[in-house]
Amino acid sequence: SNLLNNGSKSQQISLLPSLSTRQFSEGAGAKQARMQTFSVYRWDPNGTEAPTEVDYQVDVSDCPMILDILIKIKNQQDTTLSFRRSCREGICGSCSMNIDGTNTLACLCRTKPGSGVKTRILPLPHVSIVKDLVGDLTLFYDHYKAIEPWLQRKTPKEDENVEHYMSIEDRKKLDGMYECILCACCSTSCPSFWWNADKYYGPAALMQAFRWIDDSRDEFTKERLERLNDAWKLYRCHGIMNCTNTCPKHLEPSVAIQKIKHAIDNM
Amino acid sequence: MRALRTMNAAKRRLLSATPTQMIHHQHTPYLMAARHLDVKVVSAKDNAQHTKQLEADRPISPHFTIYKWPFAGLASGTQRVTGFALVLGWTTAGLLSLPGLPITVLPIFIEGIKSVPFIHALVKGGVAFSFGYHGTKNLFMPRLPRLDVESVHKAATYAIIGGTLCMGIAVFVL
Repeated sequence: SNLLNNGSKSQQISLLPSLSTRQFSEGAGAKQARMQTFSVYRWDPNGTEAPTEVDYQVDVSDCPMILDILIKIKNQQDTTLSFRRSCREGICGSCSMNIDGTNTLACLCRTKPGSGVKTRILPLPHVSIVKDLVGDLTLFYDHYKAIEPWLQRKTPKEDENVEHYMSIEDRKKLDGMYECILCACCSTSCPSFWWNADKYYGPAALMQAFRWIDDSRDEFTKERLERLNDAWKLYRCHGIMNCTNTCPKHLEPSVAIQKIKHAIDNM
Repeated sequence: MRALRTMNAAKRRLLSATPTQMIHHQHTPYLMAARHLDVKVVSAKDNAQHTKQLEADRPISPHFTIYKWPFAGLASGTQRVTGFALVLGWTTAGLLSLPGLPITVLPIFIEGIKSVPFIHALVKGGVAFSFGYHGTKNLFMPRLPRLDVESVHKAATYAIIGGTLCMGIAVFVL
C-alpha cells in the first residue's frame, strides 16, 4: 500500500516490521531463563569483616555483557554492590575489573553460554580496595601526571594562526598509542607494578610517555627520555607481556616500552 | 557564608509558611530543590590523618593466586625461577670452594648428591634445564625486532627446546 496515501505511485518504504511479525516475536513467550552463578568480590569499608566472594544466581538471557549482570544484581538482588561504570561501550575505561582471571572491561566482556558456568568477578589485581569492585587508582593517575602528557615546545609556531603542522607519516606513528583509554587493565596486570607500584610507572603511563616522545611536534624529547632513565620508572619492565595480552583495546604497551629503551640507548 | 545565611533564611520561611502561602511564593526558596546541608569544620591535619587511616584499613585485591597466567607470563616466571636456581647453585659451589676450606669439601658435597640417584637426577636435570632455558631466552629476548606477543612466544618456545636439550644431554649422556 502507498504509505503516503496521496494517490501517487511512490515506492512503499517499510520502516517497521509488519504488525503480524511483531506479534509473533513478542508474543511467542519470553526467552527461556538461563541461570548462571557469578561469584563477586565484596568488602564493606564500614563493616568489620574480611573481604569475601558472594555468589549470585542471575538469568543471563537478557545480559550479553558482564556489566549488564552487575547492573542486574544491583537492581534486583543487592543494591549495596559498588562498581565503576559510565559509557557501557568500552571507551571510557571506568568498568575495568578482573573477570575469570583476566583484566578487561565489564562492558566488553561477554557472558559465557551454557548453564552451570560460574564466573568469578574480582577487582583489578593488587590495588587498595575502596569498596567491593572499586579500587584506588591514585598511584596509576599520579604516574600518568608525572610523564607530563601535554605538548611541550621550545620554539614558537611560525604562524600563530595555524596549528602545529605534522606530516601524515608522523601522525601515523601515534596510531596504537593515542587510543589508550587509561582503564588501568595493563598496569594492574603487571607483576612489576604489583610489587613496585610507587616507583615503577607501569605500561599505561610508559606508553603515553612514548606517545609524547614520538610526537614530532614535541620539542622536549631528550628531557622526557632522561626523566625515565633510572632504575625504577622504566627498567622494572622485564617483558612479562601481561600488559599486551590483557589490553581490552588491543594496544601493545610492550612495543612502546621497548622503543623507549632503544631511544635511551641511542641518546 | 552569605549563601548559607540566605539558605537558612529560606529554610525559616519555608518551615513557618502554610501550604497556601507556599503556593504564592514568587521566589522559590533554595531549599525546595536542595538537600539539608550540614557544615563540619575539620582541620587539614585531622582530615589527612582520617584519610590515611581509611587507606591503611583497605585490603589489597587478590593478584598472584587469581590471575589467569598467559603463556608469555609463565615463560617469564620460569625465567625468574631458573635464574634464581642458577644463582643458588653457583653461589653454593662458590661458597664451598672458598679459600680456607679444605679442597675436598666441594667434591664430597657433589658425591653426596650423586649417592642418592633420585636427588642426583633432579639436581643434574634441574641445573641443566635452568642453564639451557635461561641462556636461550636471554639470547633471543634482547634481540627481538618487536617486543610483541608472537615474538615472545617464539623466544619462549626456543627456550623450552634449549632447556630440554641441555637437560637431556646432562641426564642421558653425561
